[in-house]
Amino acid sequence: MKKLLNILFIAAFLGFILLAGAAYVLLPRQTYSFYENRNLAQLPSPSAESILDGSYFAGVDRALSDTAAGRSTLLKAKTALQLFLNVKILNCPVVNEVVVLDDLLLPFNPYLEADPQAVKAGAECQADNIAAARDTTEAAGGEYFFVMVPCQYVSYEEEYPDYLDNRAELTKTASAYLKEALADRNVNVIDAGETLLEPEVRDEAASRVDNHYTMKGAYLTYRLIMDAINAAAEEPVDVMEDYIYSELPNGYLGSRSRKLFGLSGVREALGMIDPVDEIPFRRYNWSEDNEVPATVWSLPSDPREEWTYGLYMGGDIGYTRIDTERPEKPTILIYGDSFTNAVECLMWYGFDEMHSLDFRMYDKMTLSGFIEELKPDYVVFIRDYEQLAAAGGNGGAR
Amino acid sequence: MVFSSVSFLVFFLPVLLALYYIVPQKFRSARNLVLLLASLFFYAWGGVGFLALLFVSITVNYLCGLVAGLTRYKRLGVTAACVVGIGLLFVYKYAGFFAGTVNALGIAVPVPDIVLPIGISFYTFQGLSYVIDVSRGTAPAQKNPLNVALYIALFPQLVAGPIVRYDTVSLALTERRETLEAFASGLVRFSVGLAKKMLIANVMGEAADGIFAHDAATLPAALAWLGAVYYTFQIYFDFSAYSDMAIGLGRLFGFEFCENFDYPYISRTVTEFWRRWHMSLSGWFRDYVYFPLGGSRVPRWKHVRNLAAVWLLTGLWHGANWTFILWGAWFLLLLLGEKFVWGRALERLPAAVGRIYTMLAVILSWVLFRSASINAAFGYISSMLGFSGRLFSGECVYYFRLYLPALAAAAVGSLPVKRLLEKRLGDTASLWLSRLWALLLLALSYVMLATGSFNPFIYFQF
Repeated sequence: MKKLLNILFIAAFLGFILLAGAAYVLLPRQTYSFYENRNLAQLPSPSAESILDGSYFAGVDRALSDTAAGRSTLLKAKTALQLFLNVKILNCPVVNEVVVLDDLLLPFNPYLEADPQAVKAGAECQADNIAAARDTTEAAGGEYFFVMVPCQYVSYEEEYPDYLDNRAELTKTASAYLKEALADRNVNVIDAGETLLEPEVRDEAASRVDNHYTMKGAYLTYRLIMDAINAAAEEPVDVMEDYIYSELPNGYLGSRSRKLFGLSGVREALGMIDPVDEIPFRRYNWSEDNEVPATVWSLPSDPREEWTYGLYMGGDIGYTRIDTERPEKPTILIYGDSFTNAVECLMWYGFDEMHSLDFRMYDKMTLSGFIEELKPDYVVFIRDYEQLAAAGGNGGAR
Repeated sequence: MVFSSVSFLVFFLPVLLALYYIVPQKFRSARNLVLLLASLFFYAWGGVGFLALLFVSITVNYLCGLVAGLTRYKRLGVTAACVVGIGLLFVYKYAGFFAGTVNALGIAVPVPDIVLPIGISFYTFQGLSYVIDVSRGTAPAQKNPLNVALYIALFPQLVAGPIVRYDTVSLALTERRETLEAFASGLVRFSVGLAKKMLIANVMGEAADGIFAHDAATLPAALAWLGAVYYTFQIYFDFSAYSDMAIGLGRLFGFEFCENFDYPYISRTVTEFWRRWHMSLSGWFRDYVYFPLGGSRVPRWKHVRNLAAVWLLTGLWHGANWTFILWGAWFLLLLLGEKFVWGRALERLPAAVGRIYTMLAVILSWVLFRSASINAAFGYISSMLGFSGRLFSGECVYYFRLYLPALAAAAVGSLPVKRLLEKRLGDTASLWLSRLWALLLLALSYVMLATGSFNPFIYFQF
């Protein structure tokens, strides 16, 4: 009996590891993880140096870990278990760096003691860059606007359990320093938070599953920008006041819900706003001669497919130009992180050309070089509250 | 290569088992050769370049063993092995530390930048163990260098112990028998070790790392204690897990390695703790340093000297930093205190008091052990004592609640539950339970292995 038990046990053990090995060898290897939004490590190419110092084998370990048999399924199963355990049993609703609340998914903010001096220095540096861009814009005959928009955790600050960090102090400090620095430099500032954070507006404007605003939040931001532009403009610029709002039938996999493999149960639809009056345009991505389909929406082909914030403008693209071929209208340059994407879907409406830059991916010209060459009538920089004291990426553009 | 990896579990181990067992048992040398080559491949996974030093160590110990086996030259053999072995250990592990210390004293010397070869502390001590045991006559010198190579390079204990004494395996090198029972129990032991690492040690480590990353000056006392407790469990489960896996793997190939841990966290005194923690190392220092110096059968001042030598070396063995020396000194003070000052009083107190005293001493020692510098260690301990001015924060709630399951498992796993169960259930039920439990742990460990590289791209938030 003991012998039989041992044989069965050994067979089960070895069978398990052999199955895992066979699955790895025989099944097609994944190269990209959609839910993690990254390429999976692949087997490296060996070299004498990498074999000698062990880096080749370290790369093999990484590749085998990233492409282990059943990884995707096991990740989902583990997430599902943690959603139950952490939320229902442990009363600590943090799973995969997402704070899981009843009908809301927020980012888990690692606890940090922000150094006010460092925050101030970051804000001052960013203000310097913004002021430089403003000077270049005005020298080229244009008008410059800096737009602050609340990111998700700022919108839902008070929803965080009190033992988790909602970064309220840091947001307040960074915002105060940056506004003060920009006021010292006479930069036009539009704080969209003053509107989007109003209690009656917030729930419609801020996404419950993603870091960004909703289409309605983007529209409110667009209107604030256009109001500011028209307040300064000699000739009024057309505003998209009559529009059709629709929602994509597909499930919305926001940045939070994506980390949870769509298992959280929190649902939201992706909104779209189209003008009632159709205005034809041409669109170019990455370069002036790379024409792409003339649409601001990147639509899924299958209504069952979960879709992301990439609906708006096709996601983060280094350079985009929308040309409505109406030379009598002004030109606008809009730059910033992905918070510009949803606004861009609307911003092109009143302009001859809308140019959009994202300096995290665009390196052909500097911002000042671009402005000097294009001479846009308006330049708009959109920055979310999390980046107010961060002078890197688009915050460093000048 | 590490045991807790997909590459080891799913590829290396099954391939090795197939190659090993395909050779009939009567061809012991051939099986040994398979095992040796696999061990060298295992070690080379961390860098083929490191094999050179391992070969030097094997060669030197083999030759010194032959010399030490000759009655006239045993001292020469041992001396040569010690000079070369400890010399290499000094160069690769301690040269930078000593140069840095000399620089700190104002004497400018170049600080060498040498990569520490994996496992050098372990295989150096094993090699010395071979030569010394041969010189003492407790085991004959090996004529076959491959057997010495196998003893030193055997992959289950090569990089993290237990330190296998040569006289405990000298016969097994050539005359062992692999049995079904040993194979099965080896797999059980391996599974338990793997689970301790994947399900407890790694999770406790994640929590400890998160807390220790804070600036100690602002760390609330409760969080500092929590971090220290998490690290206390991390280091035990990490280290004992490795020993479990090493012992389990040894059994697959017919070797029976000595135990390395015996539930150290139930100790009632620090003296008892060191009879239960990393037993192979403390045994090595006892037999090869403490006893040759005279042990306790000498005048008191020499006894203290002998203990000081052992604890200085024990601290240094763990790492090239003043924190490790201080860690060793901490235990020296406690051991001397128990031996000469408060030991008797401690024995008269309830067991619970002794356990609390021992755990406090051990937890504080681990803070020293983990800290990058003495300043960092004292900073952290100051926070534990409330000198940061903060006693509690919301972060304490987060770290406690989120890691509660692993903390509970660690607390239970630190107790001799297995022994209790075996007594209650009897042999047959224990056997069934252990095998089923091992399979469940293997499955759970695989889940953690396969999902361990989960890393959503930070860009996600944009």
